[in-house]
Amino acid sequence: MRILSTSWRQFRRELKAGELQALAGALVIAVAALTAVGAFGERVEAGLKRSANELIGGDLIVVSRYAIPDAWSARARQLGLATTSAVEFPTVAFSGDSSLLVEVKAVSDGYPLRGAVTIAPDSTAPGAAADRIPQPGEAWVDPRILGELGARMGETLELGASTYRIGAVIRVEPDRTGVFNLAPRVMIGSEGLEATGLLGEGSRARFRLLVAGEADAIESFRSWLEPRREGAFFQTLQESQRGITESLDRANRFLALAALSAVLLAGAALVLAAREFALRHIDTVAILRCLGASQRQTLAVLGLQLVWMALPAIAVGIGLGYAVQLLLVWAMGDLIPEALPAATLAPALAGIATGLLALLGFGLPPLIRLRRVPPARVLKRQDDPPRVGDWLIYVPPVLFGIALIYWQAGDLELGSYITLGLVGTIAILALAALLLIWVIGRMRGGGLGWRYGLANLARRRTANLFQVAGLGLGAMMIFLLSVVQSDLLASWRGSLPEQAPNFFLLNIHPEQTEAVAAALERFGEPEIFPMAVGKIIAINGEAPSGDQASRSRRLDGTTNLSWADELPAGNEIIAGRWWKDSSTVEVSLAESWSQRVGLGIGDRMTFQVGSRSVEAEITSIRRVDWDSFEVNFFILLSPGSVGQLPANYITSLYIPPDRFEVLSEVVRAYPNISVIDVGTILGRVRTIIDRVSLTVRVVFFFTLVAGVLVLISALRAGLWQRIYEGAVLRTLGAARKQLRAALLAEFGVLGALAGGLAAVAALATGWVVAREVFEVPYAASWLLIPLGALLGGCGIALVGVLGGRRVLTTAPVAVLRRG
Amino acid sequence: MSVDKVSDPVLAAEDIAKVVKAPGGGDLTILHPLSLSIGDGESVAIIGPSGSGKTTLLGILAGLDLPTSGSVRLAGQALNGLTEDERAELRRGRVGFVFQSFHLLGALTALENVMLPLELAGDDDPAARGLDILERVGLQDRHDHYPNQLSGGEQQRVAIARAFASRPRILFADEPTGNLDLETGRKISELLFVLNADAGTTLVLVTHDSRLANRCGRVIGLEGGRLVKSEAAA
Repeated sequence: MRILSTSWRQFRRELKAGELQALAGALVIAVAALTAVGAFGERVEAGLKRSANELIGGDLIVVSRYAIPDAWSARARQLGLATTSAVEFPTVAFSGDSSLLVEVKAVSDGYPLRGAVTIAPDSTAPGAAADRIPQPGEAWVDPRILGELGARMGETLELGASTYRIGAVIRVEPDRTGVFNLAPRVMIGSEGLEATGLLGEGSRARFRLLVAGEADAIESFRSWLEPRREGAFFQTLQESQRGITESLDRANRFLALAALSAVLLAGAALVLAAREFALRHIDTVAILRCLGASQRQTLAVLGLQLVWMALPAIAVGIGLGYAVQLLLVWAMGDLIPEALPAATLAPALAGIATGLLALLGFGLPPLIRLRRVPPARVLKRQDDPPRVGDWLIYVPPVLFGIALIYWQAGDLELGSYITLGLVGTIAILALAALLLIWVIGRMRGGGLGWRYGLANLARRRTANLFQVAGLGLGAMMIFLLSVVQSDLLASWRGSLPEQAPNFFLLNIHPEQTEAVAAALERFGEPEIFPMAVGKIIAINGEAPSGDQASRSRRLDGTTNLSWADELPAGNEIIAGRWWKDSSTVEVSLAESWSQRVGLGIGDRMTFQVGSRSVEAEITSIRRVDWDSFEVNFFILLSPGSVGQLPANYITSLYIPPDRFEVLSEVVRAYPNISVIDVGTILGRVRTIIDRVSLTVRVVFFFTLVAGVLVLISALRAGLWQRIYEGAVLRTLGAARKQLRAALLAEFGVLGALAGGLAAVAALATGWVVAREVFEVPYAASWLLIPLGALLGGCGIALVGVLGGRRVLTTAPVAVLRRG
Repeated sequence: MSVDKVSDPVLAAEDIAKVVKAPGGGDLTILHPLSLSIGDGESVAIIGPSGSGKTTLLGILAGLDLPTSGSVRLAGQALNGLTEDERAELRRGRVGFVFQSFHLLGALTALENVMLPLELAGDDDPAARGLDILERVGLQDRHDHYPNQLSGGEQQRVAIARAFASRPRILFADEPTGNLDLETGRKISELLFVLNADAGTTLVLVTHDSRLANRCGRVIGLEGGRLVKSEAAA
């Protein structure tokens, strides 16, 4: 048999009859969602890689808290590498009577080795790449400085003991990653740096040696420096971009899951639509079998129709996916590098593969059942009694769905959560629906239409179970995305309180603590913590293992220590107990840190601070709310352990934007104190949340459409049966009004069941996600349950009556003649 | 047991019976054991009241259904032990069908429906043969019409064209005029017998219509699932 041509002809006819739209739509959505997210992720990754070296200003950066020895740069030049240097430190800049906390960067000739600084003559002019560094006496500034200091171009700026003329506005600074822009930048040449007097003892300067050149030479330089680097460390791309990478990771994970929900729903729509397609073709199969077609041939004729439908659908899906990834790039705004490389063909190929696999996994299994259509059906049309094993055809779609979940979740635990959640949800939906349908089936009374509608609901139990589960799943997704998603985002944002501390004050000398506390007491009573920089020299009496050493300290080998009488706010003891007596020698660890280093209650740690060493036993593990932006420490000692360790003090507090001048006063009085503006970081984190949620919404739109497709597919199922019965009823004299009432009753109750159950499921899912993913408390909108039932009832009743128009309008004779 | 035999049969049934599970439990015998054989080129009508097992017998003889016991040989080959696909292969090109409710594929045109068995049998030029046979049933001008654009009589003519298209050795017809008015039914049966005579096809026909039955060479009567009569037509 010419299977190709026969299936093609039948396909064209099906297309004209409009029977394949739901299938095609589901496939378009699945492919588009995965392609969009895939292409977006790929472009961002490639973009980050390409601009990586520009982002750190060179091929390799050496960072130190101390001035870089000349021998290092000399060695690099010997190896044929280009070098330059930069020093960064926070200080307060003055202009007239105004002052502002700024981040100074003093750069040497040749900076930057990769990328370029873009500058402009004033804050409104367009920028151009600078071919030099600031001249002596000239400062380039962040436009924010002009605004906040009320300074104009050409006016002066005081930094320490020196005066600079504002010569240009910085538009782009290549090695300043976008996420954590602390205080605004002032860039000067390194030549006059010493004269400012700002690099004294206790300054928080960071010295950078930028190196660029051949990869081999870079590698030899690195291995030469490795044993000599002392406290210095190499800055890698991961290090410099940790913030951006983490937020993008989080975004990508969300997007992958959002795309997954779209694909799974589209899969459900595919299964439902394919099942309906299969049911409508039972007669075709019987006739073909009767004419001598083999099972393989008949399946091929039908299966190929799905393929003909799939090919253009996949192409459309890929096109849509590429368009949407542009939207995603736009939505991410300045969180990602400006000029991303174009998307490659890889996501398109993945889209094609996904589309075909989805068809194979979701669409074809329902057709397999057609193998069992008896050819004798052409003589006596009997409905196949449901046979044991019918459910087997749903095994491949379910397995395929689970495989997709694990693939997209990219994480065994998360994948298992989603799988269990989904399977549980469907099972609960089906069980609850079964129970409710059973109860409703026993209710009688009301008019003919109402009675007939309810009787139908009970009679078509299996079909209705499918419909309630399908409708419920679709509605659940819609509720999750609209109501629950906003609740979750609100909770997430709420976890960053408006009054979270926006400034950290570091390096407060012990004798200054009282005066500083007094100066800042208007802004609440900030807790002032001692902080010492120490090293962990032993764990349980032995030197830390290489792994423990690298996990337990910063890149320069030090660790911050603090001590306290009382358990600090925002800390919770989860193991052991807090010290009762401050004279004991004990240590308390933060949960995350103790897990990372692999330490627990009873282990002993030995610290060295300056020339003193302290050994203490771990007696408690704390869970710390890091999101609070309060000062917190991984390692807290009991005051009895420390005696008189050399320490400086640190505090955090919230200062309203109109009172920032207080900080200037403090810094003028105590120049040793460093101020870190975390308000900017907070603002940045909020921006990230907003941007990420915007992109997630874009992808969730696919889910929404897929949800609607599930609804349509679920409603289409059994439509023909309804048309036939409607025709019979009308020959018996039923009025259209009565038929409409029957449809309303059946679909209304079905929709209310699905809507109510979906709301319950969505709230439960929201609760789990809030707890496990966002780790925030979840305020559920309970009103969603009655609202869901009402919306589901009305919506489905309306769609049912509209979709069932043919039940009311098809002439009975046409239906009955068809048999 | 009822026996009805001819020598050199194209179709032979030996002790076939059909028992199904009754909806309320227990067995329901639709066909009691019977044997019959039909010779090459013979035309046989199976008659009997509703529920007498006519259609069940036709289905078993055509290999669409399997008997609970007994054996059937179709075109020299035993159907017992063949898989569904092997029986389909046996039907391919050798067996034609005409049904009461036409059973044309709604997605295909008249010509495409007629071409279907030819394509299944691997015919080189199914379109030419299809058009040829459509001309024989007087529907060459309607070849590109879909079934829902044709009247009942026209649909049955397409079905007859389809049945004869692959020049089958044996043709099964189940109430071919049952869905048609008297006049159309008369024309259809005329067409059926003319084509049958031309092609020398063996014809097995289930019908209520005694006039139609009497045009056959032999009439087999069923009652309550038992063979009660097998005699030359009046």
